[in-house]
Amino acid sequence: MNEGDERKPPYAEPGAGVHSRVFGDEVMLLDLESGQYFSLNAVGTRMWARLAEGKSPAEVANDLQSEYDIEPQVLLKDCVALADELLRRGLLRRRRE
Amino acid sequence: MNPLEEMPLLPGVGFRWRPAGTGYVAEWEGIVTVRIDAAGTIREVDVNPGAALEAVEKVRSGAAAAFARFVAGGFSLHSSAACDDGGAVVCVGPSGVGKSTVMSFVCSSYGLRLLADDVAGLSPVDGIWHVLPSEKSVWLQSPSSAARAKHPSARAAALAPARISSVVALAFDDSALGLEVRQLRPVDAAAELLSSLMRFATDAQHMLREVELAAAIERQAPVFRVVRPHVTPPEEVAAEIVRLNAGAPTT
Repeated sequence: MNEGDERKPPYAEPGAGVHSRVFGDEVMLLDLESGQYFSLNAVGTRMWARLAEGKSPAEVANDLQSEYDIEPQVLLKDCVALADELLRRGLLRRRRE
Repeated sequence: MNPLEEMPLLPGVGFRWRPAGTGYVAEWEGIVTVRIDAAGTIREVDVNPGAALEAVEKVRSGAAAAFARFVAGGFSLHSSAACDDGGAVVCVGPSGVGKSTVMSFVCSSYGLRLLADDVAGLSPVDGIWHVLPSEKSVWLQSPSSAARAKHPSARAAALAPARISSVVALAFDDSALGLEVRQLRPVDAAAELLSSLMRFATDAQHMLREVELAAAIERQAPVFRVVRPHVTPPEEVAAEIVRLNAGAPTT
């Protein structure tokens, strides 16, 4: 690995048994372990897609900043809040390093 | 983000089921115990001593039939439904929101035929989801008793399955100024349908099938949320439901 190629470890990944189902531009999350369904609106869906790829809330906010006319700190706060709730419900889980 | 609420099978009534031999035993505490074979046919109904006949009949024609359908691989919605030649309107929502009352007016004032009350069995016909006919009259809460009585005004019952042409999710909101109607976005429509689905198992296989069912119905028929304050007369809601169903696609 060359210097500078080192990548940050992923922030999180979908929880075990979490399945997503797309409806138009929105998504429904199925927790196949708890038997519960969750729905996300369009903004939450965009955040989810990036969080599920392993991006941190700060990286997600940075990605989405150009798409929404919103103060950066407000967008970051929303991303952190959603990530926290997804983690709390087990829909995301932190990656072990 | 909120988890979708699960609809209790019968509010306030304990329910459990277990495999028994090659079939299943399902028990609605204090009301009935039902034996169902592996093909989903009800073989035996044991009425608990002291159970009210209305409650027994309600379980037998509703929740027990839904469980039998589940055993056979089918689905049921906690809903009331009626149809005309254009298709079936399915009315969902929590217990006490007025599904039966509104549907009784839909049938008595607008000539739709009753398909199901409280529990609607679903069946695909050529890939299109239909409601199975199961009721001849509407279950209504008696204002003077916890017992439920059949409403006498809705006697015209449908005899054949009817294609789902619209779904209406009823809700009360006393801050609403009147009847508020909006068509739900696909994910909210699917969530509304899943909240009304009678769920007997929560394993992965069933959940994935349930979501695909909700997706198919959502693609097939518009799903509306109709919110009203308690003072809105049910006749007004019935008129709106008929109007919405008449405007639904007929293909």
